Amino acid sequence: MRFFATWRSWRRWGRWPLVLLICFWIALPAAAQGADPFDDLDGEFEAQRPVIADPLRPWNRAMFEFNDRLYFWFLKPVAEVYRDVVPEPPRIGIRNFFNNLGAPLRFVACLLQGKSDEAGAELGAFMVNTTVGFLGFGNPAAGESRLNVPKEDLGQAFGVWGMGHGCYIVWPVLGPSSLRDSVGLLGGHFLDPFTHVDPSEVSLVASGLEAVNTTSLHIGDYEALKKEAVAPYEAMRDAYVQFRQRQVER
Amino acid sequence: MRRVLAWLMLALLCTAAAAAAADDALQAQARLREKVDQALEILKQPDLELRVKKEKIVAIVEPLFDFPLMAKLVLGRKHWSRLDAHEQARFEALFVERLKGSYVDKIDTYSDETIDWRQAVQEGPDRVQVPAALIHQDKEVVILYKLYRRSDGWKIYDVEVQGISIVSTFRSQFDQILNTGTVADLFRELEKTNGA
Repeated sequence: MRFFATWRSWRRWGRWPLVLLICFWIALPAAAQGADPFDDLDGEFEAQRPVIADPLRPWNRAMFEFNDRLYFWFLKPVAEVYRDVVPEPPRIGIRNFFNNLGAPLRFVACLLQGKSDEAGAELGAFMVNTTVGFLGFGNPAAGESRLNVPKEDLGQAFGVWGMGHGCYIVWPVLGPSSLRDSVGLLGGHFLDPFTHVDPSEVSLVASGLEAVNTTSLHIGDYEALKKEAVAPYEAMRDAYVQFRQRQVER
Repeated sequence: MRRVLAWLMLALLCTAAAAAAADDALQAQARLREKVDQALEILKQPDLELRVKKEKIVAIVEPLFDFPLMAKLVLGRKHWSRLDAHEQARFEALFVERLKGSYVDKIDTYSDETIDWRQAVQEGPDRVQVPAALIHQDKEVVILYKLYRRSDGWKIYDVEVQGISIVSTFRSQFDQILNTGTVADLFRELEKTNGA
């Protein structure tokens, strides 16, 4: 009897129960998520896991060790002396100079991705910095937000075309890379103005200066990464994959 | 009439939910910002000892994070469920010590950076991502705080620095250790690096 009474009252209320039910359905997943987000988030991280094939692991590990020693035994001590001798402003100037010479590469990489506005910005920044910025030692373009675009390179362009990494490669001196990005580096080498300077020793000295100068501005970065890592080789490899992924996506 | 009223009600509920969602992102960001600004204030105080600064900052920032959840996430369902309750507790303690340690280390390297907050993004009803940039001279470091809604407010479950996720990076490392070694190896590695 009671059942029928209820049924009648439901009928009398028309669609209300349905509406309430829908509201309940909408609220339900949210409430469930609030209870334990572990499963959801776990699935998310699993899906976003940075994956890269590493068939060259023995070589890569050896090169990782080699670069580690190269840094602590050679590059870092040299950069520390250099840092103590050369004040920061000229070092930033030298960084800007090399950075400015990377414009042709970035310009081409923008064009290869169809980013014509960004290519224009690179060209504009290069012209401003080379003239007003005294051959690129100054960086007046930095104050102009329209001329500031994310740095592109050939590896990123290949990534945008849908090419995968292939596999992970650690190069001596150059550090973490992949098959795809190595091809990009090689292409970038030909777009580097110093490559075409005669005699070739100039290019070698320039690369050395650039490496020491860059290191002098970043002493402590590698140490921090290494100290935080529980498994440094894997930490470096995954950081590389994630970092490149973000660069390709943007 | 009643039918119209019902649909109207439903529509109202939906818009209310959408508006609440937009509010959520702002609310989560405001809270984060308030705490981070407080921490930066303490950093800038010239007459405070570094050790005291660190203690104060950790006390401010700690409630923003869900450390137990992060400890579970860095192992992932796959490894976490294989640990017994005792091991889980031990891992959580070691990992949280590790996280706090590297956070506190960052305080040493602070030098007049300013923080620039960007537009927060709502990712579903219970997730918010808050991007920010640490700016020092002409360099900027992009940071992304990832928060989820817990019963007692928004909590951080992951932070990305320059696109590199802390949780994701630890996940791969612990996965590597546990795939080739044992739980004892994992504890040993963590203790070794925590001691360093």
